[in-house]
Amino acid sequence: MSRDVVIVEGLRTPFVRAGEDLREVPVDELGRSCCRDLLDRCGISPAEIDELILGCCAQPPDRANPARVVALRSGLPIETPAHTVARNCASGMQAVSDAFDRIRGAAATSVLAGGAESMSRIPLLFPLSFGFKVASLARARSLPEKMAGLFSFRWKDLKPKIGLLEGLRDPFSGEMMGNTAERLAREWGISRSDQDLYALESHQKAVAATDLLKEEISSIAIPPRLDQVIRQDIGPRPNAKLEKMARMKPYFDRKLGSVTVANSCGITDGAAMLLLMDSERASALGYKPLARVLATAFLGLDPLRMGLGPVHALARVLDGSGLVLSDIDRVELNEAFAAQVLACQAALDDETYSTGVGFSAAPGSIATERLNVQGGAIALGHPVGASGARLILTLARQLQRAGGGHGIATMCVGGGQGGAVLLEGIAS
Amino acid sequence: MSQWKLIRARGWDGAIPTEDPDGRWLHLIIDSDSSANVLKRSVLEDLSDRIEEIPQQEGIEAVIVSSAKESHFIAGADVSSIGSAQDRDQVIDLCRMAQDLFGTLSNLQVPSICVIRGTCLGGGLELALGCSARIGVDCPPTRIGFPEVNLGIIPGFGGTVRTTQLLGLRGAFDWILRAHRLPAPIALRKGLLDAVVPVEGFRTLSLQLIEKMLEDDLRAVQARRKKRRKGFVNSLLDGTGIGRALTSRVALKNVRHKTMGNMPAPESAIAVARFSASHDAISSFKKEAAEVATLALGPVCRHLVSIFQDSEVIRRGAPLDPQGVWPSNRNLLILGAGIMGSGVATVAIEKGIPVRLRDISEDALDSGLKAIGKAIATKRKRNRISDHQQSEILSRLGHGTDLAGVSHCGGVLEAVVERLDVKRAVLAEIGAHLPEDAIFATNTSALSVTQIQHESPVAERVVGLHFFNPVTRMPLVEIIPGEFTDPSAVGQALALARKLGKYPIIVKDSPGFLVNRLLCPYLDAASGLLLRGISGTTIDHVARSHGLPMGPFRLMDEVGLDIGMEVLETLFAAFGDRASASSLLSTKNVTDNKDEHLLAAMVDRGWLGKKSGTGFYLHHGRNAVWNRKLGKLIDAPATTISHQQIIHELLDPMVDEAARCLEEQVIDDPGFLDLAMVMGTGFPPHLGGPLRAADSEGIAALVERLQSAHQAGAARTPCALLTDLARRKRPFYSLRTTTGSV
Repeated sequence: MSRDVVIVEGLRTPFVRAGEDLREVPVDELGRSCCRDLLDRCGISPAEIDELILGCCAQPPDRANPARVVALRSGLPIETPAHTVARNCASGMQAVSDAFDRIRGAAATSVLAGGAESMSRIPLLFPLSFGFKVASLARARSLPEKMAGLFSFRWKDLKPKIGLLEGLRDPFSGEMMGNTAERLAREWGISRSDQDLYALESHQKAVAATDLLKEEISSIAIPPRLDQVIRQDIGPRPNAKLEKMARMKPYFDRKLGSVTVANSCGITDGAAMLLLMDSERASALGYKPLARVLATAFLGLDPLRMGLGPVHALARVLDGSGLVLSDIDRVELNEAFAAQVLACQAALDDETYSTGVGFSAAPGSIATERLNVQGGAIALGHPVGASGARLILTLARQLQRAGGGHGIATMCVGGGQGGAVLLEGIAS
Repeated sequence: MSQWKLIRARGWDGAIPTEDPDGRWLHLIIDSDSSANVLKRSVLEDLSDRIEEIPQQEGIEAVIVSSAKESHFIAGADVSSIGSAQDRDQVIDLCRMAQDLFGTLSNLQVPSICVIRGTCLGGGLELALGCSARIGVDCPPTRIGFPEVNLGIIPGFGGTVRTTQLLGLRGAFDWILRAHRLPAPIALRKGLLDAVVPVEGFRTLSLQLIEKMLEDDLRAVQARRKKRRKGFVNSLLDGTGIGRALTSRVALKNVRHKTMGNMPAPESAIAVARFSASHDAISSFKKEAAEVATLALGPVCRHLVSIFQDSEVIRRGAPLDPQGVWPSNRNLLILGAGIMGSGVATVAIEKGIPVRLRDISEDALDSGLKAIGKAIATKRKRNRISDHQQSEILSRLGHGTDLAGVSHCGGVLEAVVERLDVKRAVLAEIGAHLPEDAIFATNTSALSVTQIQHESPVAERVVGLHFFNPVTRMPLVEIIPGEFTDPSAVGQALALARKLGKYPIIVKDSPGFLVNRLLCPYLDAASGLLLRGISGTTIDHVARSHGLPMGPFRLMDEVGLDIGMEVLETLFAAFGDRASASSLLSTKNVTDNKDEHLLAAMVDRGWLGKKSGTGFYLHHGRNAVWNRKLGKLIDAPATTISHQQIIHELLDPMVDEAARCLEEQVIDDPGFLDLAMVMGTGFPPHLGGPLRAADSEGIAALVERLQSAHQAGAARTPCALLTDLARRKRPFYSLRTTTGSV
């Protein structure tokens, strides 16, 4: 019989817009900070942890396995293994899913899982041709060879690519992620004003939930001078206005588009960590877990319509659970783009599309009072590797406050995938 | 048993290699019978016998000098023999013998190469300098340096002269005056070593290196040494008389600025080095030996050596001390992120202890974190640590406003506000979650530990740990067991303090404990002088030139007048009898308001010392000028008295109070009392501490002065112990039990 897996506790760093206060903080430092506080919060002996899994999408060049750095720096014994996983936007969700599988299969009892991303620190990239030419110059022996090597450089060799933008590009078509959202907006007829309204609501919900969100945040003192302590998200705008949003130019399709910076998720730094445990062990140690993990699912779809990933993943994760979408009390759907969320809602309403992905009948769109009740990535930001873990953390805390019920955290994944995790609240 | 082994071998397969009469290498290995190799006279004589046997060996290629001990090469000369030297000629003889002996090492039929693994200090380094070349093994125990000036002498087995010959004046000053103990790679960079090998398989690697050195008759080694001393500036400063005079003068000026001329050793090191740079070896060695003899017989050296010996006892721990260990890898939970809390946190994370800093106030936490970050960043800036080390150190620090992490901590250090009710409340809150093997240390400077722990369910694990400000610099920690404290908790507290690199001294739970109690009469006496019309800057200046790190008024400004007043009031409440006419808290000669004493009048005006910018001084950044407005508070005509008298009036009450501490068994041993004052207040170490200073000056005279002061109106009378010692003409140190080193 497979074991019961629970989320004992979770914490995250504040999410801060990239290029701002956390821009000097390396990704392992973000992970370490909340991981260490999580261990303290749980009062667990570090030796109790069997392994650490960290989702990280843009792994820094000087950290081949950031998970290991997080593990050792947060005080786990050197015997405890750690590995990093990547599934683009769902890397953090993948880490939790892996931890779930490991514990359910009795390969581990307690696992720290989560994600961390420092989008500020994604490097600029020189074109490869630059490297090749430097190498051939280094090999040159005679003066003419050296001169020839020197003169072979062209301006275009020196023009750096912005690593961050390259990461947000669909590898198959070369389209930016925003363009895939534009496509959904066109296909499902989602207007600019609907998108802006949705984004505004996200900000309003996040601002209203500031105190609730604070419970899941552990403050971070910015190294190396520790002269600034960040205690809450820098993202939600209490004074967001619809008129202001309406004035923004579309970012991806300048002429005909509707996706703007204001109705997309922010580029953000942050980390989130969860402690997952076999439920028997958790009760033996006297913990009152936040929620139980029932199932996880990942599924692929057309990369150019990656935003609909949640629809596919929802169908898969509910399949065999004995539940239908209307049974689910809380859904955390990652807000990559307002257009993409609204397209998902439309697709769930659409008979043809939803039966096509595996629903027996159109489940209908998710009721607003169940969806992203504490705001989403449009307000809080989307540190790609960390977001999956953040959705699960937020969801688990909501279920714990409710004292039961079911919830799903789901997200679209760049490159055409969808992921979902089904949780069940634990009656206290 | 011989302390040196001479073994001919083919290779180097262990600490003591397998003997082979046809081997190419001749190993000269020190393996003394004590735990560390120390160059006692017998060891030197033994070495002399072994060296005499070397010329009989034929067909060897090199002599390899090494130690059979894991973590010591040679820890230095025998410290106790330095401190107890009586006869000038004997000292000179010993030094000359060692100088010649080490010199023969480089004049053998084959080169001698020294392989240094572990501590190589003082005499050990001098021996190494006698060899043809030196290889250092890169491992944590390897520390190389000349600690001599800290003991009031100079390297006297040829070290001063040979270092100057090898590195020039500036290099020699760097090594000898600063008394560093450096790891091998830095010693290589500074030119004292010729090569460094990693510790894994260092014997094989050293042999390979030696073979390579021998291939060209050590010419590459010589060339490297020469190259280091090339260059225009080097040749100007080391190669010309004017350059050398200039270098020496700058060094002397820096030394005098630091020591106020109270330490003869660095000054004679400069003199010997300068002499040897322009004279032949024989006369330089003679001068070196003569200087060592003068220094070793002087009082400063004797005092410094005894303080060093006492400090070693404290650092290592006496066998009768309560025993305990600090659990490695467990967190230290520090409550209160104020100056003391963040100071201890800084030291702890540097020493490898994970710290969780907690404070109920976010603002306090922020400023505490900022202070820690700044302290570590300064170290990075000064290149004491690398970037990686910096982030490693910082990663040990956690912070928060809740108590998360108590249930798995190794111990709690409480540094919250100095109020009994607050401390008791904190203990009550923490006590319920404290792991069974963790201690609760309370950093209090004046409150009774017994009162804090009274009626607590974890009373037996509560222990006082009094750190001194600034924690990063002051090496003393007073350990205060309360009435209900279990000895194992005291042992754990000792272990924690040692892990933090501090010197823990156990004192009885009594008001002010030891150091603050002794500082009080001193500060009080200073204020008394001020209120009699003597200029404050003069008093501070006199105290400074006596060797104290800062004058009494500067000290009060640093501590903060409000805090000072609190401590003083606690103490005066406890020792009212001799404080009834206390100057600091008396209203006599204070003009302002006849009901207020001087400190209160100052605190009322918001003059809190350095933190408020105004106190006895006006502080502008690093500068401080005397606060002239203070004159209006004091109703006394300006007077002057001799500097000697100022010193007496400042320190005599302190000695009396110290005698009372011995009487009341606040601390048992006069040596440790002196050590505590040196390490806790920076009392001039060359005087050996207040009691040693009183001993060497004569207790009878001191008693007389105290008595005449009493007749002139002071409340203090010399205590029974003091008068008794004066009557019997016995020094304080006659009270010493066997725990000490003398």
